[in-house]
Amino acid sequence: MIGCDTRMDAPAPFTVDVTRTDGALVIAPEGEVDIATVSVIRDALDGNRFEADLLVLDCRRVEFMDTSGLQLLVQLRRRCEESGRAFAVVRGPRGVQRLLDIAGLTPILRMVDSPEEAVADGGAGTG
Amino acid sequence: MAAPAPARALAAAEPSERAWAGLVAGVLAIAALTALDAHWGPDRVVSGLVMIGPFITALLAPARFTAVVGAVAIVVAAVSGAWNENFGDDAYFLRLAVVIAGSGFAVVGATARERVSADRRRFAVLAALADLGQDAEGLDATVSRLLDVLVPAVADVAIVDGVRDGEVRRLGVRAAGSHGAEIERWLANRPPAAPDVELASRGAASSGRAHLIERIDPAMFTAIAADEEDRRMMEALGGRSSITVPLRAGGRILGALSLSTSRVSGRRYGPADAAFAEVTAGRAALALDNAGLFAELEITEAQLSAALGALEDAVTVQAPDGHVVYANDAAARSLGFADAAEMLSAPPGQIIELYDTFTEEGRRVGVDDLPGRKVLDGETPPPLVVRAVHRETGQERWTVLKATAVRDPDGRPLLAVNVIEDVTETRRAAFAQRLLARAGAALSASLDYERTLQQVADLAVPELADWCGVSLPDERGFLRQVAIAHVDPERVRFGRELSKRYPSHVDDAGGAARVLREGVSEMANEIPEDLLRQAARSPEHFELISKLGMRAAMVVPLQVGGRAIGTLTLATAESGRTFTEGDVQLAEELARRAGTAVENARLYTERSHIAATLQAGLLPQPLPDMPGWATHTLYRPAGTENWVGGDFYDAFRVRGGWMMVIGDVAGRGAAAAALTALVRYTIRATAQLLDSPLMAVERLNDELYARTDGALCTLVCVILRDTEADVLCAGHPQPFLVRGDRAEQVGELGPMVGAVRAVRWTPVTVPLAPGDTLVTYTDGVIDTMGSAERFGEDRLGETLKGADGPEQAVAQVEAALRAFGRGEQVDDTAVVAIGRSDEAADDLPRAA
Repeated sequence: MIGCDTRMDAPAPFTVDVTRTDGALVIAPEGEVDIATVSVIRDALDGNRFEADLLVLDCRRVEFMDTSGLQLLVQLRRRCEESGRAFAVVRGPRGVQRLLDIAGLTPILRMVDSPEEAVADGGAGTG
Repeated sequence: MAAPAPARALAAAEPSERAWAGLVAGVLAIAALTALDAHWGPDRVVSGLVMIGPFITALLAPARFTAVVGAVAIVVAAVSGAWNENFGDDAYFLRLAVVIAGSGFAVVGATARERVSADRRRFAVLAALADLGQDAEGLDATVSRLLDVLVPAVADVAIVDGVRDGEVRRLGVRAAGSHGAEIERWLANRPPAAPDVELASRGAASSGRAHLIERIDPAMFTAIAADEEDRRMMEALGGRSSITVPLRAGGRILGALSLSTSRVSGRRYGPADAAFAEVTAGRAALALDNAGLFAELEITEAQLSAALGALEDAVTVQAPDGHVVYANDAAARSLGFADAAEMLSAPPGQIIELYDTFTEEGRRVGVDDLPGRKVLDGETPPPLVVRAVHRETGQERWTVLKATAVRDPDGRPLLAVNVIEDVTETRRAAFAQRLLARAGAALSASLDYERTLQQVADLAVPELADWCGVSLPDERGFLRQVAIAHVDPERVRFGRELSKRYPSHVDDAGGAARVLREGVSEMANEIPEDLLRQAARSPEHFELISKLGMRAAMVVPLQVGGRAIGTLTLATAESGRTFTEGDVQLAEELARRAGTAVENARLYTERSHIAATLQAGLLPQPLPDMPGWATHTLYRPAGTENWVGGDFYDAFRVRGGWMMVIGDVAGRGAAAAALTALVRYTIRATAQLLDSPLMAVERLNDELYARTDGALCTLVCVILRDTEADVLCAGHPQPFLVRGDRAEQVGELGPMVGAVRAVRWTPVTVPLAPGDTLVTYTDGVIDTMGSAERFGEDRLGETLKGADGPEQAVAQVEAALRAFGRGEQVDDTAVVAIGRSDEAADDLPRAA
């Protein structure tokens, strides 16, 4: 893996790792994604504009997500769809997964078990 | 001999001219008698009478002159035998013997008379010297008077030399005789060091004795003369004898006194004169010491005055009676006098009478409170900060008064030295800063501007003014007094009553109304009666405002964006102080801040009123009465500020029954509220219009997806028909159906509304029997944070088990959340429970 890691601290113990690989941008929030922290992810994304064929949201270290997180997820999916890029979500803990289920998003998202899986599949399949 | 003019009195006793007259008279008498004797020849012999000559001389001239005349008389008597032809007979010898004896007596008499007159002169000199010590005169005047006494009474030339700091200085010279002035000039410029002081200090310093030279040898002149001119002057002076005596006082040698006789009087000094010179020198030294000390004091005082006069700080010195004995110019100026002299002539107590003096707390300060007075009473007072208002000009000054005592050897205070530091500028600057800061804090602390304006008015009193008021125009154009402050609550009541009874109107010609119209401050440091009379509405009003006893007043506008929205009035009365340009600027700044705060508060109140009105419409209303159905709801918005959150619920009639919607829009605040409104009214409108109410959700999805701002919502729609319900879940937690001891989730999970284009949701039909309760809720319930984990769907299911009807279901959820929840509630929480109502159940056919 090449590229650089950017770690951003939010007021709450919340961080976002942004990893760039060839053709993929992996965003890995850690902590609770809610109305207070979702802007940190947005800022991290805005600070890492680059042309990637694949955007991966890694939810493995997300402890909780509320509708703000869902809103972000929906927006990212929609942005990728509109710009012809692939979007994948790495499954998170049970609570997060249940939230995605409740939100009815699981069927319409490309769910993977790891970023590597998403990269390996490349742009295969769309969100 | 009288004291008042000792010099002249002594001059009258001066013998020289009379002596010559006596000599001549004696000789003439002898000549006359001799002529008669010779003329008469042996017939009549009067040669014995020639002894009258020396007697006449003895009356007027000194003994030596008398002796000369006596000698002449004896010679005449001796040779008279020639023309009286009686040489050798008894009568001749008898007459000769009588003349010799008579002449002898005459010389003795002349000597005695001379001695008496000398003593008399000396007494006169001593009396005059005693006088000399009495008056405190300068050194020069004292020396001059001393010389007047001594010359020519006891000396033809007298010199006074002084010693100060080891340096000898010629203090005065006096010479008698026709060449006196010339001799004085010569001696005055002659360096004093050489014989006189040397002799005095060497030979006589320790003993204080006089150094007498009875006979001056002209040969000495050459030895001691500095140059030829000097020697010539000495010869011209013709010194006969001299006495040099040290001037000693208080164990110190002050200098030397030199007395000389010259050919002017022809006298010579003897030991008696030396003794007298010692006494004279003692007295003279005392007089000179006093004069010298006085002069030293004068010098010290002059130096002190010069030093203190240059000080910026005001310094005064007070005697125990309170009288100011010294003041520098800074003190005089700061206390309103033209200069120090004018201040010193003011009687004690008058200076403080010029001012109304207050402590920082506004308590009046009396004479006895001043540190200077306390110091004189033996206390050690701390510095006192006072505010002094000049009664006449109304000018206000802040000063720090410090005093220290000058004590006598016994420790009693002799003088109080006051240092008066003017801190007006720093004090005003500090006050202005404090006032603005506190006013700013008060104004920003609350939106209740009438209360904060009162706080601002209170802050300005009494340091800036005795009165402070704020007026705002009301709807009818009256200037309403919204704040008024004075240290005395009784006066505040009076002022409030006054403004209530006689309110000004924005159309009034002058005063606050004009300031409000024109936005320009007005200030008056004199308020003449005429002005009050003009401003008064009635004689009674005039009486009342006169009672305020106003000294100065200013009105400044409450400016907001170049517009005056009210007025701030400051007035002085009791303090009597007047306003400065700085005061006006401070008041304007204060008013500007107050104006901004009032405007902000008004805008905010207006806006929050609008927001409140709007939000009230968005808040979940109590569900309408739905015949056949019983409902119960719980709504707990998160936080207090934005009490319209993202959660909503609604119920309305649709074709075939009722539709109940519960949902949650993403985000918070105004945007969420607006989205809530959009969602609620879109669903309600389309559901009522469409044949299939559930299609309303698809319509809403199209609507939200079309927006690109991430507008999303989750919701559960329930269509209530007689015995069943259609449940649709769009990204929202599934409702629980509670039936007896069972509680299970119903419905099929579908995507959130607005997330995906062109979705279809699949409703699930659920039978609703009497006693069944369908419980819908938002994620705030299951996301409620406990001590270790979130509440969750499973725990909610457990909670609902056994709930008998909607009311109990909601109560159980609320109790469980309260027991479970820890910390602040972060999300909105809504619960809507629905069940068949009893009456509705009764209406239904049992068969169903």
